[in-house]
Parts: sequence; structure tokens; C-alpha cells
Amino acid sequence: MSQPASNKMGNSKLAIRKPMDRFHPWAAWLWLIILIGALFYLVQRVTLPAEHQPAFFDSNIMSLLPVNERDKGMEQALQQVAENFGQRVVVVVAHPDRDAALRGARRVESAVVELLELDKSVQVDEKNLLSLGKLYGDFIGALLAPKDKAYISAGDATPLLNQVLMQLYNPVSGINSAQLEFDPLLLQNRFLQSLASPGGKLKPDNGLLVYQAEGVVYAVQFFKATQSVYHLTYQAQVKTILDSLELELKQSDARFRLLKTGALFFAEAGVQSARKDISTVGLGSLIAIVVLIGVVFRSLRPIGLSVLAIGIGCFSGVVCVVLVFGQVHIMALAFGASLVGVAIDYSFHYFGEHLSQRRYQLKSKNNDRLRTLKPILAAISLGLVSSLMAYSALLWAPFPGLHQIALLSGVGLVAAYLTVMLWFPYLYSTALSEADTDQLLSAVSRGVSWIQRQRMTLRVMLGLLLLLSIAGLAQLPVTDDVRLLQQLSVDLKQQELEIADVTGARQNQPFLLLRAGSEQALLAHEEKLREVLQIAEQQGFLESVVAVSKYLPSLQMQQENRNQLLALLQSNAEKLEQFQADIGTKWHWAQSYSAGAETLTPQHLIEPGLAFLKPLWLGSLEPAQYYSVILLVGLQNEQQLRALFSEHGFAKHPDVVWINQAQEVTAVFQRYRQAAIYLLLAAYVGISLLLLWRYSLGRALQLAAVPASAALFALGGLGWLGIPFNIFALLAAVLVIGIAIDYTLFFAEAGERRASTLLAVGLSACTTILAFGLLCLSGTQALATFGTVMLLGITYGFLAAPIWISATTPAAIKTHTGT
Amino acid sequence: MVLAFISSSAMGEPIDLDYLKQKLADKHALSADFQQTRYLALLSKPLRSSGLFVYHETSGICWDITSPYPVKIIITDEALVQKDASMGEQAYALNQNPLFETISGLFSAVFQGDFSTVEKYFEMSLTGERDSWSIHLKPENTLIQKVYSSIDIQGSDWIQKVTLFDPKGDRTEIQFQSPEVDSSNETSANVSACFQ
Repeated sequence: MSQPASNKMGNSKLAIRKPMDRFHPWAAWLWLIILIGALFYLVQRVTLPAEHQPAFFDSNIMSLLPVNERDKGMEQALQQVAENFGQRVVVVVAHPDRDAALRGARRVESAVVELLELDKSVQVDEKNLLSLGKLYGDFIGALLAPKDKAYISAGDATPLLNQVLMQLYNPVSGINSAQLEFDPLLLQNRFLQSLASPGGKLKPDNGLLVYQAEGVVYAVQFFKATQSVYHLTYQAQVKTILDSLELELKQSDARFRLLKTGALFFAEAGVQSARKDISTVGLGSLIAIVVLIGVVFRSLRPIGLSVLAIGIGCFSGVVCVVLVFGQVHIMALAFGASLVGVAIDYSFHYFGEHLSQRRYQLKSKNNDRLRTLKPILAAISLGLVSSLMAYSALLWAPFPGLHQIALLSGVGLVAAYLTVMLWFPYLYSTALSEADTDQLLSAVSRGVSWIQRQRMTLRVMLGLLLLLSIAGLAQLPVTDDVRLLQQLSVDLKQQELEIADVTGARQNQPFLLLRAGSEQALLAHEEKLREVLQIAEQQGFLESVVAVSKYLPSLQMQQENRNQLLALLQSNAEKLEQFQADIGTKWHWAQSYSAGAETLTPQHLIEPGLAFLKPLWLGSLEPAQYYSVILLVGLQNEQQLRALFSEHGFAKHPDVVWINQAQEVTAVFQRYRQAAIYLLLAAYVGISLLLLWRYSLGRALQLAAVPASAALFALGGLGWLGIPFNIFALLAAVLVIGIAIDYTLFFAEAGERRASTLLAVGLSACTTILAFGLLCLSGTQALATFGTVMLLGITYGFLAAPIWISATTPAAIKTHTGT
Repeated sequence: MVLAFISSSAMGEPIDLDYLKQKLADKHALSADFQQTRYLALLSKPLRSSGLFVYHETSGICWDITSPYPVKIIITDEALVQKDASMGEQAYALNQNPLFETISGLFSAVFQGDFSTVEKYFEMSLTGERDSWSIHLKPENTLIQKVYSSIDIQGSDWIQKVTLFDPKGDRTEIQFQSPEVDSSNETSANVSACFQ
């Protein structure tokens, strides 16, 4: 093909011929050995038992996101929390009839028994409540409801005694002699009442959790996944069995509904979406390539060789990602499918040059195996370097997902390049196509002269198109939402919301991570923080909190409670005496409340009534550092709570970390979207400087205008299409600039070989546009945005380059030494 | 017409559940004076209290205790609210306390003749005649068994007496007198006043 460098290569042919000819066969063999080694690695990696390594494919959205700027311990604690809650699978069976709903839930339970384990700790039933009451009985006097504690601190027994009277006169209080004898002030009753039930809105019914609303009974079951929810086969198994159960229930009675939620289903939907992307983008581009090559080269062998180069490219990319990251993220793989359309370029250049040489009858004069390769070597090498530079822009943002994409694409391109360079001369040197391709080249030539004639009209049209598109920039919506990374599964989202409504517990509710040097210090730390949270509860913008210290006060608090209580009993002796006389009994007040010598500690978290708290008690994750979680239920005003925190000195506390994952991801996207604008400008300035090095100012400006307008056109187009602008759009724009400048330079340097340049660039643009065009269809918004920007930008760049850029006159080229 | 038939044939006939259901369901609201006597083994004398009991089909149940200590207990579907002069208002969400919920649910279920709800938690037997019947309830739920061993309800045209038996020998008797039934949609003044 006619690359700027091919003439140079021709001139220096003699100089490099010898070493290249000698080393080339060795290098070809070495490449084969490397690939066989990689194949062995991959086979071993895939067949190794699952216990020894992470799953081959990763489907967790969180692993695409940057590691936060938290300290290591907190990060570890957060991972533990994600594991504790991420493994949860919630299944709800709804039916107008209670018995049917319960029956349906039982059917689900027995059907999934091999895959999911019922989480008994959340399943608050009578047994758990009874055992909690029994357990607390041992610590009587040490556990106080917040209100009672306030009365006791105030030092007056009257309100406490009034409470007892009211309980006695309340017809539905269920107070009996045994309770009164054991706990004359009924402190334990009120302590139990002050604890929010872990089931929230749900109530126990025959060992199940049930919620009734508007004539529908929801039977809720909390399961724990027995394997990682990000394990692909496991995900599919769980999904399949629940889908068939839903069908079964619906067939037995159309009024049945089965709702489910959990990280598993979102991950599974992500995998399905990625799988679809891989097949549409990968297969679509592959078919297009086969057709294109078949039409242009009219031979089977180029098709086979192209597929080989692409295959080796994709294979090497995946192997390298697994080598570096331990696993491949399913979304990197989906993006990687667009590699097919880019990696084909080297093959096009090779076959194109072959064609061209045949046309100019170079065959008879030269029997060198490398004769096709040598003229294009510099061009495809330059192409590789510029593509690698463009992809390395993705490394800049600290998103592991983008790093995987960059590595997969970069290594894939290098491997495809090496395959073309090292193997094609042996596999395609003698078998020259006998097809008559003159017709095609003359058709392209006619196209070139048509463009030449219509240049003014075409330029005006392109300019108008650009202006129109720029107007779209004004209406470009912006989003930095975490949902960019999620497939747009409306159904799953809706089920999640409905279940959140039923259970009263949101999937992504904010929480606090706490740390202290010992278990007791951690409980005390929780208690201090809960005092602040209580203010928020009283002010009404926080519904409640779930915290271990609520159920298990610190020893210090237990001691303080008991001491204060005993002091009150002593100071109010007369009043108590009178009270007993009034209702006709004799109590040993102090004896009742000093008896509980034992103390309640986190060791008691194994008790069935408290086991539901275990996911919140992370324990010791590093030596002498203990971690726990406080869940914030029904937080309506985060700003206000944060203000309250800073008022009480908890705002920048190293041992209190506020976690709101959805919000954090949004903040990260926003921050990097803003920063990516500078990346785009930097890429552009870099290219402009490169142009200035070779061309005169006027010419450089003319050339630089093409990538700039391609990027602007693409971003403006997003506005017209109503697709939100985000960091992925900007990163795609950087790639557009990188590829559009290639096209521009090819035409600037084409000289007399405009027709074959148009053919080669046209072919590669076609496949690139197709690959990214198919990516537009992705269910994942990030990929769809990326694909759309690439599609629009590269199309414009491909149209603009031949129309705007005429052959470079010698006067426009600066003279450098060596040029 | 159905009503006329029922009242004319009420005398001396054996009671059946369907009849009772209809009888009790046929009202929007009811208010009655009540007297509670609580016999606790621990206390040397019974605890007596009295006041006004109000049932309303949508608002719930209200116990307006006047003696010996004025306090109001309002039970809705969701919460138990206790109101008194010195302590102010205290609310307990019912679904967070299955015991409270079952017992308070029992009263509203019985007063509106919703025996399917009652049978969810209790084994039920009905004996007697239409003008003098009694229901015996045995809890099936272990949590309720801890608090009540059995519950007896006696009635004629209305519910006259409810006795709650504790497994350790305590008992609570609640007697209802001079009932006023609201069959119309209009809620009488003392009914709505109780829920205020």
C-alpha cells in the first residue's frame, strides 16, 4: 500500500535486508513457541480446580471501579461487608391467599435446597424471639431501653413505676406474675420493645416472613448463596431454577408472582448482556470481514488468514489479561470483541500491498518472501504504535475495568500485528490471487476523481454537518450514574424496588464502618456515634439504625446501667415501699437487679436470637483492629446527617467511614469525566505538536482540523441522539482523535496512490465502524456510549480525510535532518 | 329480611359459627363500658380498672381507662399507642412485637366476627346457644403459649366477658356492659373522641 514510509523503506531496503531475512524465520518460530506456551497456560488455568484460584470470568461490577482512597483496613472491612451482603439472595412469593403464598415459598425452599441455604438468622421466628428473651434474662438490670435510661439517670423512680402501672392496667400487655417477680420494673420488656425487629416490616408466620398489603400476601425468604454469586455456572444454575419455579407456580395458578433480588441476578444479567455483545460485535464483525475480503480479494485464503490473525489477537489479549489480573472481566471481553474490527487492519494492508504489487507486475521481478511485507512494515508499525498510544489513554483513569480493556486490546493488536508480520510471508507469499481485481481498483479511482471534482460541494456539506452537530452539544445531557456500568434491566430494578418496599430494607442503603482497638472499645465507639444518630432519629430524617451495640451494649455501659439503677432503687426506697403497699406485694428490688453477675459480650452473637447481627460484626481483620457496621435505615437527608456528624467531631474521624457506594461511584465518574476533558485536550495538543514538527503551520492546522471535527461531530451527535455524556464518551473521543489522525496522515502522504489508499483506509474504516457500531447495541450504557462515539467519529473522520486533505506539496513539509 | 329472620329465631337455638360471624360482623362501631380485674398470684389483691372500650371497623380499638389512672390505649393495624398525662404519648410498632400484635389483633378480630384470623393462632371451640354462647381458645403459637394458656369469651347479642388465663395461674377478666352499636356509617361522637 502507499504509506508515507514505503518509499523510505524502498530506499533503505538494501541496508536492512540481510539481518531481517536472516532473523525473520527464527522470529516466526519463536512466535509459534510463545503462542503454544500461552495455550498451555490457558488450558492449565481453565482446568485447575476452582478452589485454588478466582473464577476465570469476573462479573462483579465493583471490580471495574477504582480502589478507593480509604486505608487498607477499612477497604478490607468494606470487602468483608460486600461479601456478607452480596451473597444474599432474596426470593419473594406473592399471592392473594396467605396459604398459597406460604405453600409457594416452601416449594421454592425445597427446590433450591442444593444451591441456596436459607439464612436462618434473618428468619425471625418465635423461637429466635423466645431465645432472645431468655438470653437477656441473664443480664437483667444491665440492659435498658433508652427512655428508661433517661428516667434512671434523672434519679426519680416515679416514671418507671407509672410505666409498670400502665402495663398492669393495659388489657393487652400480657404481664404476668412470673414477669413481675423476676423484673418488677418490667425493664426487660421495654428493652426488647425498644429494639427494632431485624425483619423490619415483615412478621413471622409459621417459620416464614410475611408481609401483607393491598390484598397480596408476600412470603419472603432470605437465602445465602453457597458459592460465589459471581461464579458464572453457579449464577446460571440459580437463575434457571428460579425461572422454572416461577413458571411452575404461574402454571399452577396465574395469580402467583415470584420476585427475586440480589447481586447474583444483576451480575447474571450483566453476563448475559456481555455474552450478547460478544456474539453480536464479534460475530458481526467477523462475518463482515469475511464478506469484505471475499468481495475485494475473491479468494478463500485471505479470509482464513485474517481469521487466524484475529483469533490469535483475541486469544493473546485474553491470556495476558488473565496473567496480569488473575481473571477477565466479562465487560472487558465484550469491549474486546470490537478488537476484531481493528486487528484486521494489518491483514488488509498486507493483502492490499500484495494486490498492488500484482497489479504493477512486481511479482516476476522479485522472488523475495518478504517482498510484500517490507514496503508496508513501517506503515503498519506506525499504525500499531499510534493505536497503542490511543488505547493507553485508557490506562490513565484508575479504573481496573478500563485497564483490562486497554491491555486486552493492546496485546491483541500486537499479537495480530506479529502474526501478519511473521507468518503471512510464509503462508501467503506464493499463492497470489488470480482474481481480476483491476475492476475494483479502477472503480475506486473513479471515486477518487469524483471526490476531486465535487470537492467544494462535499466540503460545504461536511461543514454544514459539523455545524449542525455542534448545535447538539448544547443539548448534551450529562450523567455520572453507577448505572452506566449496569445493563439496563428495568425488570430486575423494579423487582429490587418492590422487594425493598416489602422488606423495608433497601439493597444499597448507606452504612457506617467503624474501627477500634478492642471489641469493647468498638462497642463503646458505636454507642458514642449512636448518640449522634439518635438526634437524627428524633429530628425525623433517620428512621432507625441497626447496630450490634444496641443489642449488646459495651461492658462499660452495662456496668453503668446497673450501677445507676441500683443507686436509684436506694435513693427512692420510700417511694418503692409505698408502691408495693399500693398494689399489694413485697419485692426485693435490689436483689432482682443485682443478681445478673454475668456480662453480655460479642461472644453471644452465636445465640440464635442475635445471629442476624453477625454480618455487621466484622471482628478483627488485622491485629488489634476490630471492625463493625452500623446500618442507617430510612435516611432521608444525608446532608443534614453529615452536618450533624461534623458538629460532633465525627466528620473526618479516621475510625468512622461513611459508605454510600452508589454515590461514591457517581462521584468518581464525575471527577474523571471532568479530568478526561484535559486528557482529550492533551491528546490533541500532542498530535498538533507532532504535526508542527513535520508540516508548515498552515498545513498542520488543516490536518489537525480533521480529528478535531471528527471528535466534535461525535460528541454533538450524542446530544442529538439524547445519549448522556459521560467519561466513556470522552475516552472514546480520545480514540477517535487517534484513529482520525491516522486516516488524515495516510491521505496527506498518499501522493499519487490515492486510489489504493482510499481502498485500504476504506476497508479498515468499514470494519472499525462496524465493530463499534455493533457495540452501540450493547445493553450496557458505558459500552453503548463508547460505541456510538466511535461510530460517529470514525465515520466522520473517514469521510473528512479524503475530502479535506489534498496531497501534501513539498513546500508544506519542513526539512528535518534524516527526512 | 335476613336480619329479621335471625333475631326472631335466636331464642334457644344452638349456636353455630356462621350465625355468630354474621351477628358480630353486622356493625361499623361499638362502644361499651368495661371493667378489668386482674388476678396476679404475686399480688395480694386483684387489680381493678375500668373505662370505655371502643371498636371501630377502620380506626381499630381504643381502651379509654378512667380508673384508677387515666390512660388511653389505642390499637391500630400498625401500632399500639399509649397516651397519658405524665408520660405523654408512646407508640410501639405492632409488627415488631408478634405477641402484642396477636393479642390486640385478637380483640378486633373477635369483635368483628373474623374467626379465620382467630383460627390462625388459636384452636377454637364454640359451645352454647344463640343467646348465651362461649368460645374457648387455646393458642397454637409457642410465643403466645408463654403468656396465655387459654382464653374464654362469653357472649349473647354482644361479647360480654373475656377471660385471659396465664399458664402460671394468673388471670385477667374483662367485662363489657351497656354496649352501643353503630350500624350506620356515621361514627358517633364518643367513638371518634376516643381515637383522638
